[in-house]
Amino acid sequence: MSFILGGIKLSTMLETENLKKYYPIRGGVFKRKVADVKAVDDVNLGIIKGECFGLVGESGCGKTTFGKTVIRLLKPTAGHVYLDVPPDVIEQIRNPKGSSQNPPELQKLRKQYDIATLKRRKLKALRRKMQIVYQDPSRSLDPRMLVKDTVGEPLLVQKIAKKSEVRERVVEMLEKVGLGAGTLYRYPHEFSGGQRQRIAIARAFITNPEFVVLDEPTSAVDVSVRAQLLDLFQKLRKDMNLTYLFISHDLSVVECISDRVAVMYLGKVVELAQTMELFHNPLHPYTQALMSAIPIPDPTVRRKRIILVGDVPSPVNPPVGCRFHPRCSQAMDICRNEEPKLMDIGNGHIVACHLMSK
Amino acid sequence: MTDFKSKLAEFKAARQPTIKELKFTITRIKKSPLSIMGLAILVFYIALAVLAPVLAPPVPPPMGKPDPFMVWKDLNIPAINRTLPHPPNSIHPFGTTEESYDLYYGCIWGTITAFRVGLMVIVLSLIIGLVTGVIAGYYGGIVDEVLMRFTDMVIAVPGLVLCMALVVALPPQFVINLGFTQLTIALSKLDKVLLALVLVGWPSYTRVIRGEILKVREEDYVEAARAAGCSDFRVMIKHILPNSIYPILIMASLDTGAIVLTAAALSFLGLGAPSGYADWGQLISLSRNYIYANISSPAANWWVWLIPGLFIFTFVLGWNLLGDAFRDILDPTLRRR
Amino acid sequence: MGNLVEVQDLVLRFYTYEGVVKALEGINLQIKEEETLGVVGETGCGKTMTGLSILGITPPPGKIEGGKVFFKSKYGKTVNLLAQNERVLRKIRGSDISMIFQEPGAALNPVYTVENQIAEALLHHRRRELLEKVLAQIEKNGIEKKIYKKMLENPKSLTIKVFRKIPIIGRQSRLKKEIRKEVVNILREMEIGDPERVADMYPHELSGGMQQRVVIAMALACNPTLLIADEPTTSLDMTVQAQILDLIRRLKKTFRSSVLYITHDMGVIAELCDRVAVMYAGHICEVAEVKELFKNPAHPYTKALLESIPRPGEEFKSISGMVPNLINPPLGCRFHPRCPFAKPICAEEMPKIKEVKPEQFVACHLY
Repeated sequence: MSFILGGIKLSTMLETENLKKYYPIRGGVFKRKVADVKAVDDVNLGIIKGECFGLVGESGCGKTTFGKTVIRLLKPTAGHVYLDVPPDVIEQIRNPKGSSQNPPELQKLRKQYDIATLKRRKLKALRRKMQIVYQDPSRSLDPRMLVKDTVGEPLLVQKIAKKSEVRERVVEMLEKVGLGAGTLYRYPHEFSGGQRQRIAIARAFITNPEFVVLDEPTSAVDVSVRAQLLDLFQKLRKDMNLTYLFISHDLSVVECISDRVAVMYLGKVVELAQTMELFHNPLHPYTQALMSAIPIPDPTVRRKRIILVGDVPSPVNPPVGCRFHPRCSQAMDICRNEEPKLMDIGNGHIVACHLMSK
Repeated sequence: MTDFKSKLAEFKAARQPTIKELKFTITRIKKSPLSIMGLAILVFYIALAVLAPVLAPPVPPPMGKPDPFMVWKDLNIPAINRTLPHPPNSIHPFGTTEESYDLYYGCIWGTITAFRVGLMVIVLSLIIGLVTGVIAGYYGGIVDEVLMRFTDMVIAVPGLVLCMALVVALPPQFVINLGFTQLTIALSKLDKVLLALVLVGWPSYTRVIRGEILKVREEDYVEAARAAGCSDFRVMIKHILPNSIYPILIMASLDTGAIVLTAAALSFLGLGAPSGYADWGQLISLSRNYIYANISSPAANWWVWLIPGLFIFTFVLGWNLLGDAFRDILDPTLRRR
Repeated sequence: MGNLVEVQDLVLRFYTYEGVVKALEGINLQIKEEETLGVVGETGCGKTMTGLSILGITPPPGKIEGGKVFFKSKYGKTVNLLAQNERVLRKIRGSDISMIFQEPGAALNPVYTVENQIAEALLHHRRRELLEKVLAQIEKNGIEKKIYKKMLENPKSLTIKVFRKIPIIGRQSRLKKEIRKEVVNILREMEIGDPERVADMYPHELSGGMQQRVVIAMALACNPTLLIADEPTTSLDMTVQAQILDLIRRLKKTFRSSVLYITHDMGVIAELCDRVAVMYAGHICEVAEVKELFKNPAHPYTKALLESIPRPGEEFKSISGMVPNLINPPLGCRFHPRCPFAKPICAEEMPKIKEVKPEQFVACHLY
């Protein structure tokens, strides 16, 4: 995965290497670990600075877990997450030269940028740079805190502003998201869904972060409000120089706002491409099925549906070989035995499917 | 000047939502006659407690004792009649008990004792219960296991036996040597009983708050607070506790009545306030030989048990109704109906 | 095809602490036989309340203050549902009109198996039919036959009540077998693979899509003529949504029922519905056939809704302003503060619904 566009090396905001997040299942009298829920299983993704990176998949595929792990709300079980690495260093980390895989200088470099194992003070400093906006604003805002306190809390906790300055900065941020100072002394339940989501956005963006995970931020609001929020996200991205990880199961929204999109299934990335390329030329059978399932707001167009058989299997015991093969209409023998690796088809389009090597 | 005006406006605006919520709460209270009754009862008792020195002025020795909480004996009654309880008359509005203790004085000052007993036990139990419950609920894992097993052990301790043991074993004064000074804590017999009640009472609060915290802990806004960098302590105090404390408040107000009943029962048994103390249970126990008067008219000495009994009954009823009112009013899921 | 349901001037108000919420003000709606009518609108426009009002299950503090809801029952009689008492309504609910809701996990009782829950619906409405089937199976004219006959004729008699409580004899195994057969049949109709296994499972063991299928099975168990679906696929994944929409389309043909589909997703409307009603703030703005609505939307609100659907490569267009507070709605047309075509008359008078083209009704002063 090299990010060279038009000869210019783009800097990576975030890069994950073999990222795993497993949840242990305990059973038996002594609560020993019986199995793992492999929510995120060996994911390697790179997000370019300043882009809006879309991550799609169905419930249970691990996209929310990935988003939360990447900003260290959850601790990764294994793997590395490199934050804001300059272009030349990232090449070194990715392709180590020399006899051993892990010479000491490389280890030092890795440690410097790897946020997967940070603790306490450094972790708290990290929170300032990486933030998250949740799906349902009626649950992500404390119902007993005033808007002023909710939005101003990150400032106080991160010691960015003194108590006297907080009010000013909160009003400034609220105005940026389209709410006025009159909302300061009110409770979240007095607002509509769209307004609540704006409050949540104000809270997330007030610390001037660099990287924001948007976890299905438009799924819980109406269509007309959705457009307003997407507009707001674009505006804020330009004004504040942000990088987004946009997680959604609604492909039509992802198509409009993302620069590149990755598709996840059962904890693994199955396809990744530039947005237009992915939507016009999906190669993985799962992506194709997803695309065909989007309802089109035009009654004269009847899309040929690819109906998937069965339900999503549980991430505790994923199928052997390609994880999608039990539901794939084009499954071959090799799919049942061997897991396909991600291959670069060209133009930044990456797929993990045995059909590609035919 | 303008700075002051703007600050005042700011202050008013800041209080606006609280005022609105308060208005809503008052409207809800007005709709429920039982809540009003509960509130009225408690307001009445608070007035009684505050006005006790006016309503029942302490009587100087030799009839009374220096401690105003000790009920005065009417020594004007000839010694032969002193052991018999006397019915209500002009000098003793509620009558006397055995040994001529004035019932009126005892009941009025007993209000203060009741409040003291109820509130002290509840507040202390709440503090211990909250601290253990919040820590156990928030951290989970082994901390939770250890704390909850310890709590289970405390539940197994028999309250009555602990009471008796503490009353006997604890000295009347504790002297703690802090190096530069000495701290003396005096424990009266009543205090020891209350301490015993606290020591056996806190586990129920622990369990309830832990249950609530397990629910609230998983909410998105708690995670969002952690994402902003809040420390564990801040999350616990500012986010989790305010959202989970309401069931505890309801439980606490219902328990206050129960504690007063328990203390009255213990006083009746002889554990609790010393003899002659202004405590409702004590007052009934003072005349325990005369509760059942005689075969022909068993309730002849009705004032001896009925009057203090009514006081206990209505006091506990007031707290119970208040607890129910709290539940109806404060439960956020039912609030907006 | 005649009208299955005709709603006339339905008025619904909520008496809350903050004031009177005028949720529905004079709704007029027709649902024809064997058609899918979509009701689309934003949160708070009253579409769910319309569905609940038809069934008579509006939550307190809501009160239906006026209007009529005419429903053509299975026997051909047309009744005003709002004027019926609870007993009659209970007979209609589940057997003539069924409703499915957004959260399938919440609609299923977690302590009963799937079979138990579908059986509950069956026993309530189709008891006679099942008992007759059982009776037809018993050849010997013994006690068993007598008991089943009695159950059929006089189900409330004391003998039957006592009989049911007797431990082993009162098992009614034949009836239970018949019910199980019927349940498995219905589950198979819902395209659930391995219905025998699913019938014995508890709701929490099923995925979201399966749960919704079970809910639909419960709703259709008694062959209702009207199915009210309140955003049934909003909480499901896209591929599962596609499956469920497909299922509803097929079932509508099989059971020959009408569907009142409530949603805020225009894509689903385009896929599934024959006619569409657009609602805003408690009023119906436009009713039209689906193709016509998308090609030539008449009401400004419909136009704005269609434009606000995000399209790739284009700017995001949203509707300016906010949904009004229904305690103090704007006078006249409730959309006028946000309407780019508003005229002075729009602030004074509520527009009446008119037929501007065949089968296209609009309530707007522009026409």
